[in-house]
Amino acid sequence: MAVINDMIPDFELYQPESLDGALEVLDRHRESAWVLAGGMDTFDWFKDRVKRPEAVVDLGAIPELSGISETDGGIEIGAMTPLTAVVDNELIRERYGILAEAAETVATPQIRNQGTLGGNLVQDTRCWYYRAGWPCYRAGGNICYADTPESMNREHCIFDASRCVAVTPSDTAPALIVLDAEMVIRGRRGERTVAAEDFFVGPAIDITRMTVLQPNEVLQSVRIPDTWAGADFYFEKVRDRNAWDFPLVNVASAMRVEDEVVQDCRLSVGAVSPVPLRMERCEELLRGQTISEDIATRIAELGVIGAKPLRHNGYKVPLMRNLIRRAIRGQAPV
Amino acid sequence: MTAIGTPTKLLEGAPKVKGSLRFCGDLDRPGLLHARLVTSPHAHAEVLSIDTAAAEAMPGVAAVITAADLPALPPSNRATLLLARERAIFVGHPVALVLAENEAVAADAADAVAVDYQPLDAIVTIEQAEAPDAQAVWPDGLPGQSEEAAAHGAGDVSEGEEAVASSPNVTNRMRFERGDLERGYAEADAVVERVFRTASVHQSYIEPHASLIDPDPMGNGMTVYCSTQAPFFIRDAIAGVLGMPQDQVRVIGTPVGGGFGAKFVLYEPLLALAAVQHQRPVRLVMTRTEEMLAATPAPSTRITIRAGAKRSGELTALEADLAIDCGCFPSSMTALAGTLLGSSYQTPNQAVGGFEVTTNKPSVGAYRAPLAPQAAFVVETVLDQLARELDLDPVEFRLQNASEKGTPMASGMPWAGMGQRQVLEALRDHPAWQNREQARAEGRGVGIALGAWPGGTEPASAACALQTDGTLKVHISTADINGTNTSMALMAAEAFGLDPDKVTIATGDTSSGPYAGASGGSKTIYTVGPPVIQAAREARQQTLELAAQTFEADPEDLEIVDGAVQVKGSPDKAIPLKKIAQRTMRFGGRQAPVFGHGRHAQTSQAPGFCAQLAEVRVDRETGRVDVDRVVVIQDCGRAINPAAVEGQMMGGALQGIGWALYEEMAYSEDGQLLTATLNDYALPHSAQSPTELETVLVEVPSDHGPFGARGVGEPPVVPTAAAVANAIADACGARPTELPMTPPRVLQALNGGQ
Repeated sequence: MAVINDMIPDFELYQPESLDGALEVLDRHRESAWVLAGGMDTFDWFKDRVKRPEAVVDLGAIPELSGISETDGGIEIGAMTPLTAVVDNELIRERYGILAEAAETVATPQIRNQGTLGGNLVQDTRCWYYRAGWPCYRAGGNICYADTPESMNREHCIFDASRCVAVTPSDTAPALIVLDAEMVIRGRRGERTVAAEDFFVGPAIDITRMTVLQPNEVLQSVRIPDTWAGADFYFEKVRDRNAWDFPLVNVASAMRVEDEVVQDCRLSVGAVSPVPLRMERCEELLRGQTISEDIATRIAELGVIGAKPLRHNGYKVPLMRNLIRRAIRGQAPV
Repeated sequence: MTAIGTPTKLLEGAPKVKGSLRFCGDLDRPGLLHARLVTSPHAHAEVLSIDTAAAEAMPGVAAVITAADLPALPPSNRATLLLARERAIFVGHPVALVLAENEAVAADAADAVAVDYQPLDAIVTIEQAEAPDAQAVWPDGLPGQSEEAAAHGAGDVSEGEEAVASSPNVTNRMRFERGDLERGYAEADAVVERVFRTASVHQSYIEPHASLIDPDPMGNGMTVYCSTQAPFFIRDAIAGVLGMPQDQVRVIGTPVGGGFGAKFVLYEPLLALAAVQHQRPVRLVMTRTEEMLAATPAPSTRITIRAGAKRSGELTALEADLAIDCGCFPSSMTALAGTLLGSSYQTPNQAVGGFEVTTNKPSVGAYRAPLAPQAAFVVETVLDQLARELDLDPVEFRLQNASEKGTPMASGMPWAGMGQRQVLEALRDHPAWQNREQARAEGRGVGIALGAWPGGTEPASAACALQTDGTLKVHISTADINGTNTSMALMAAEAFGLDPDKVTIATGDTSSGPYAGASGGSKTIYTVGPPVIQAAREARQQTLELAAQTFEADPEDLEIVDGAVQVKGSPDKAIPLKKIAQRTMRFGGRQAPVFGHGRHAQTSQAPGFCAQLAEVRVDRETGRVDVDRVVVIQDCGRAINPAAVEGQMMGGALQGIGWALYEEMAYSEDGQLLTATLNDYALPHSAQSPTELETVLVEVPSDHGPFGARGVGEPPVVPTAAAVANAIADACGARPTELPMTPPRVLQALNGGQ
């Protein structure tokens, strides 16, 4: 819906200095509250006047949410850590290079300076019908505008279509899934952790949310174990422009290879389903194999089995297939 | 003198870089009201009722204006469409106008205006619009047309056409024909036929539309501050809508932060009505989303083309049929389209033309060489494919069939003098083309294309006055959208005989300045340059005559050197120009002031040609295209300011890359713009500019241009998309037929259309 506004409507702004303070405000306002991290997703919604929360809770002043630290057997990244800091961190670059690489493909340097890792993970979907404010299922209505015979849906899903066909837009999510990361979630009743691959929820489970976060919860940090530290990584994001844009498809893989035989591997694909997909079937088949063009091609073919393209996103099938192939065997010579 | 041809910094460059230049959006007035549009969220809807009470009750709201408050003019174009009356006909169609004390209140109030719509079916695509039984965008015919024209489906101008069932939305059908197409195809050794599509794109100037209307406190008309390419158009449109004498509307052009054809007339008459009604200054600065939804983008097109050539390289037949989606009003661009499709190459048998359709979308506007990038995309890619199929060198193939001065354009009119051959020859001889095999060996595809722009004509006038500080003031009224003032100063300096630093440009408003046309059509230097030169020469002659009285010499024996007049070769007795001027401007003075004038009607075109070479890498597994190199070779006639010319060439090619790879106004099946922000509408940024961007200036003097100059602004955008398309085909064998050539489309082409 054509909304023509650059002026943000009124709201109550809270800038708590502790996580407990933030949680208290969130608990008080529940569904009418909005958690503000870097603002890169938020301000679009506000300026377009599509989302109008009563209370905005800015996490920017809470020290414990920011920073990267080494832990026993891994690292922990505060959710409010700017993407630029993730990209530039020596430890991450050295041991979890795939995360730095994925974070560096997000948008532009300016946006990475302001945008946070947590924000990149919990951001809302980019479906252009939904973003424009149409009353679709996800927005509480009773139709999916992107899934009619006439819809424009080049950027939508080829897997797991439910009442909603929008995709996960995050670039860091597939990298974190591959790294076997854990999401640390804080609510008023304490902390809980969820595996990265279980953090995201599709419309079949809850159409109004993209993650398991409840309205009175905050993503506190991301913990990465050393399971995959220093593995062979591959990350690639295909988009319309080589800056700014959200992924058409992205892929992440981690492999442990000895004597050219794959000992273990993890593979994840984003922007093809409402959630980032972990390609477990591909992983199983790849373990114990010697990498070759033939194996990469066969596993990639398996990876796209079951894809159901919509009217305008048929290209995602060969694109996803080719990206899985690359994630296994690396870039083909030109 | 060496003013002409010296790379010169733009006069307004420093203030622009420092941020001290004031744009219209920076202007304030006492009592200023901020305007905000309330726009239709539907592509087509009946407006059942508008409830303004809640908005009007908000503190700080001065008024909410609806169609009921405005004169009921026949809405024959966007300037007279004003506010929706009964029907909204595109998403973004203004339905009400809020006036408030500040921008935030205006936004809140616009939100609070409750409009009750009955949504109706919308015509969104060319295919929907052209269907014989299509619903009419204008059921009673296009407003303001004669009854007869209206009866012919809103003004179909076809003559001698077979009577075909025609949709009421099809307008301005025309076709240029010559020779015998069937014979042409029969003679051909290869025939290529394809259907191409190009997306609607947005001009995407940095500065949005902005205007401030300041009613005269004595009730005597108004002053209009406006970012526009066409101050006189604004004046005429406002005077027309308000029924005022022209003289009551004084338009002051403010610095233009980009126009590219879109800043002619849009909402200024509506704002003028509001300002006069409420007797307060009113300002509207459009938001980016308003720009995307409610301005005048370039049209989308569908072009069917069929071309044949002999093995010898001779083009035998060309047939092209173009459908233009003009949005809610026709744009009368088909004759131009025919010219662009069928004039650059001499084909004995050809039929080129097309038609326009009206749809429930914003009416389109000009965008830098309107329709030329689309025409070049199809013609140049089809030529490329023919050359490939017939194993011809693509440059020689083009040279062999190239038009030249005197040969007929599609319409039959002869071409004026031009440098088509010269730019192709410069391309042929350029190292990038000579060494193309090396680029290919390194994995890059190399593509070339030619672009043409016929060029605009118009009368114009100017004046030059010598000032008491020894400077020469040039009076003109052109909107300087791309550094033309600097070039005017160079030309005046050259013609008068003084340093360009000593020339100032006084840009007049519509009440005080000499007439100049809109800054568009690549004709500002070409049409306003001659009167400036004439005025400077006349001022020089007057100056010499004044000095001659002092020297008691013949003016012929005098010269101007270093800001002073002297007898030729005798610098010791020079009289400074300021002294001469001072004698003409003082109490009791006895000599008339130096005031040269120039008036000229430029009636012959100076066509501009641009050849480009693109080198790209194509990722066959993802469809990603990287442009590594673009070489822009352009005939500028004579580069008055080579720095400005090169800037235009680079800017044009960069915009062309946007056409080629990124930009698309995507509409939903309901006519909703899905790319209404610059997040979704993909403009090229610095990271998308080619690694190497080279300009080559070719100078084939125009017959009538100032110092031989011809228009340079538009040609460089024309061939880029075609050159990139040909480079993609060269790199990977796939040939996308749709602009922009995004990774999905390239991947589809690589997979045989799947």
